[in-house]
Amino acid sequence: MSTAVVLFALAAGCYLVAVCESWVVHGRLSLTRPAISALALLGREQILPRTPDRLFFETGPVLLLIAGLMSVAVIPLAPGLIITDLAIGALFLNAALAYVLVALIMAGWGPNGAYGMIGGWRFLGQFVAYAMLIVMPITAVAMRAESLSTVQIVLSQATLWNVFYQPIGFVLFVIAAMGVAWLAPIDLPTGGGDLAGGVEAEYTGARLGVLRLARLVIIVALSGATVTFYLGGWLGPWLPGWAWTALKTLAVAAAMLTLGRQLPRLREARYLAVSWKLGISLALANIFLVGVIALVVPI
Amino acid sequence: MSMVGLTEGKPVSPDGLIMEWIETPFGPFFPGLPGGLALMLTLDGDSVAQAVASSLATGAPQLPIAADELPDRLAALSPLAPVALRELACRALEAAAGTTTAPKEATARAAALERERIASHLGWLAGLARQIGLSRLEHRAGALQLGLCAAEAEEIARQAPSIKAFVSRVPRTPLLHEKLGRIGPISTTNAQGFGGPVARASGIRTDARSDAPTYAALGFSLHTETGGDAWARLLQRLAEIGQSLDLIAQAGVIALPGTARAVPPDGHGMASVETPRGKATLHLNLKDGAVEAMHLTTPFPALAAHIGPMTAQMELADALTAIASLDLDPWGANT
Repeated sequence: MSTAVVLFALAAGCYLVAVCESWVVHGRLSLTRPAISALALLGREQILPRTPDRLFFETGPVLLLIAGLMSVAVIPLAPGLIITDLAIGALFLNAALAYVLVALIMAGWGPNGAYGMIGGWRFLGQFVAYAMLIVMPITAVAMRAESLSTVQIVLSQATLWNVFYQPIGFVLFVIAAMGVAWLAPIDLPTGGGDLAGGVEAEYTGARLGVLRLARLVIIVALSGATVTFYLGGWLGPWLPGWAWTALKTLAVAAAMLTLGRQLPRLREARYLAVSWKLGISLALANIFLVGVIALVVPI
Repeated sequence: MSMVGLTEGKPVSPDGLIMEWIETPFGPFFPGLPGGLALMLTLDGDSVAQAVASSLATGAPQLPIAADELPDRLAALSPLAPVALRELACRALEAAAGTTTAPKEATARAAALERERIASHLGWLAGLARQIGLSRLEHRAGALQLGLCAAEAEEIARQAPSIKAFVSRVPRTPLLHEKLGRIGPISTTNAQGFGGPVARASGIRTDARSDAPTYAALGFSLHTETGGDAWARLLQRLAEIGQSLDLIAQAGVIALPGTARAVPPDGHGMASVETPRGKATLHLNLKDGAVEAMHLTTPFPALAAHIGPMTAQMELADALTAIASLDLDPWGANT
């Protein structure tokens, strides 16, 4: 039952995020645009590149969707409303997100085209930049909760949300999450202006639909993870827990989508340099600070 | 096959790695780059090893053509600068006839050129914004461009404050300087061969308008930037938008150049016009009231020839940004 409810909530969340994204991109709110776009994609001819690596070409988008669904499995919607409450939930989420890299490289390599291949390899570089900034803030979150269970992490924020307890970790995690979901301005693998779609360039019809759906699932999963780790998950007054999770998740997704539109696409070398030189230093400082606070002033 | 076998005989990158280079077309239809530009990049991984740019335009008018048709035919040559090319044709015909334009009419025609310059720079800005992923800037610049294309002087005066406010906000866009600074630098020495905003952004004081009495009467003063990179080219074009708005306000009225009057049956004419992308020059020979030979020089060939050296070993995204910052018009290639 929980699985069905979470999957339904995920489907609704993906649709609303698609509405929000089309609002941000086109400047006009339309509740039907994503449905029309999805139907158009399903009805469109599926063009095969001339000499694809068929296995990678077909598997890449599906693996991306699976990676997104796996990461959703450990995000609690409310007490008891979670697909699986693993004791190593936070670690599992991280492991599931690692497959995003594999899937995108496959999707980039599979069509045997220059734009897609460069996009796929670019994401490898992007992964090198964001990987540590996903893991290290989660470490600090788990330190406070003294558990890797996502439910325990939410419960550990009953007195004070982690966004206030460890704001540096929050900022780093959100920026890294935007990198995982290749959201603007860190949309290097698809970069519309310099790769004409990148890993998406050679996909058409239903295959492109799966690729875009997978990206929406990943955006919802990362927004949900941000809510779970930093914004108190289902905790909140008046409304039922699931409603708080849903509202916070949509707000985080909307913020990530909107923020990116105000900034030019980051230069890959600069992104790597800042992530390693500044980001990792800050993440280490965050772990140290959280450790000191946990020892000195237990909140 | 072993790794050694896979890469045997392949070119060696400057970093010592042996990789398979890929030849990839970027154009003639590519986001952020002008349509008609055939750009072939040889990629060494994510870096540009070689770049060749050329024009796919094949629309040179068939000669001979009746002299009174020349302005229309030349204007149709480039969708990016039709007013400037029409003005160029009219001036060349007037030079052949030995006539001059009345100051009032010359002022109105200069205002039409400036309107096209503003629209062109805004269109370039929208394209650059698309290329670097600034969708909000792209939409705003594109909307302003559409509103200005055929606007009269009063309408432009009404929109001038919002355009100037927009222009002053653009450089304050977060991370934009980071994105464009030190991209595609053109030194003062290298910029000597160019004209237009690209040369002026490198500090070269060149502008065909400087010597024109019409512009002197309107209070035109040459603006240049220093730095010569994509950021300087952005600042240069933004400054020129403000400058052109002031010139239109001074002129007060806009009129497109019409059909040239009193065309002689035989003769030679030459004229230059500062198009939005630099100086264009037209030489023509008239015989029996028709243009029997003409030569049009535009900024495109010099800029296109510089793309290869400029982008060598640049990261792909940076190289495309540098190329976009040149504002190429492949349609007006030399004819």
